Amino acid sequence: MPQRTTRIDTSMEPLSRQRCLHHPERQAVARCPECGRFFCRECIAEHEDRVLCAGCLKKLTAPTAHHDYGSTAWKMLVQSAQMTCGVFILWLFFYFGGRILLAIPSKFHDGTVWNVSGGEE
Amino acid sequence: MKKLARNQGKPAIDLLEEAVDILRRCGLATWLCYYVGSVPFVLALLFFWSEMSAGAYAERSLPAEALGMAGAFVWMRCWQSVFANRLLSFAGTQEALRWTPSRVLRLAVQQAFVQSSAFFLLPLAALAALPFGWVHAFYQNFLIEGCGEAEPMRVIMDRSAAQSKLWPGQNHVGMGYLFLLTFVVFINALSLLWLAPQLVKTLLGIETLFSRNHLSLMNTTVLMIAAGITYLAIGPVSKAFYVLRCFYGRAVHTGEDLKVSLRRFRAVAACIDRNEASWEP
Repeated sequence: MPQRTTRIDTSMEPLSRQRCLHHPERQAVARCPECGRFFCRECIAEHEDRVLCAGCLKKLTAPTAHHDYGSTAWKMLVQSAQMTCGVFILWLFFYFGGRILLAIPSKFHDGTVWNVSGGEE
Repeated sequence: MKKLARNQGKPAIDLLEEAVDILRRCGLATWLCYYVGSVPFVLALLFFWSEMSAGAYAERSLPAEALGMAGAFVWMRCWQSVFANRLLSFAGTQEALRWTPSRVLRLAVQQAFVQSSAFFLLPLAALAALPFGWVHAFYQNFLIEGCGEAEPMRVIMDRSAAQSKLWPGQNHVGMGYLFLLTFVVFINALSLLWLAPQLVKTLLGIETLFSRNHLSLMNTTVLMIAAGITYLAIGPVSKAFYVLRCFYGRAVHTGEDLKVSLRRFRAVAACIDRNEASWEP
């Protein structure tokens, strides 16, 4: 998550006297809380309940650059451990599931348990 | 009003309708991705079940067969992740993922590591009743989020958890509809299996063990076959539902849904332009 840095403009000029940074002929309608500059209605957008300029929005929503999550050997080791762990948990589940199935009487599995009370058809 | 809609998300029935619409338009290749993964698992499960219930050497072959089932499960989850990501790219404007060998390897690791815990955590969550919806959504979301990205597992799990917390009402109502649908399909599959021997006898005159004695169909393998058919039929709808939930969840931040709407308007506008150009008074 990118850090939000809000710059506070010390100039006390009211918004109505400001002009858009990109379109000087237009009156500014908002001030970007990220860069502190003034913009017209076409240069701003809402993002997570804040009004931001296009440049700051692009920076905030850009996919994070390449992260180095450790050396290749370490990553391989971690991935191998995760794979082994996952497969082992799955094996445990199916192994004990199979044991439960083996413990159930075969009369129940093949349905002949229902014939006992009514007799053979 | 807009804020309220954003907080609650789309109605679950609308999302399910959209899910069915996407499945109808996504093409054969996407459907194949689902069934290449799921059919072998269901067949392996049926084999495992019948072996454990009637196999003469079941006890001896159990460790090897359990390992085979674990492999079939990872295989299925990987293909379901491919299916879900193809649906996601179909729903949005982003391009389909490129499956390089390293991405496939990461996908297998991510799915094996996280989805394996579902067998223990889902029954526990169901036992406690209340958190089941969130836990179920988490594992479904992980199929979409855990698509082999080179990120730490924790980051992907956080994203899946964040998506599962989004619009809980929509999630639970959607799960309710899917449960009803599953029940109806299961009853239908079971009826088909029960009626098929009788139909074969009536139409073709072939007498089978099952047409002689209906009670011989009351075995657990038949129930498992019906459950397998139900899983294969309902799975794509369920996956598409969670794909759309993830799509709209991401769109709250990216505005992707607006881009899709604009793309549709552009297509309509281009069509109108062409018609106007070709029209001569």
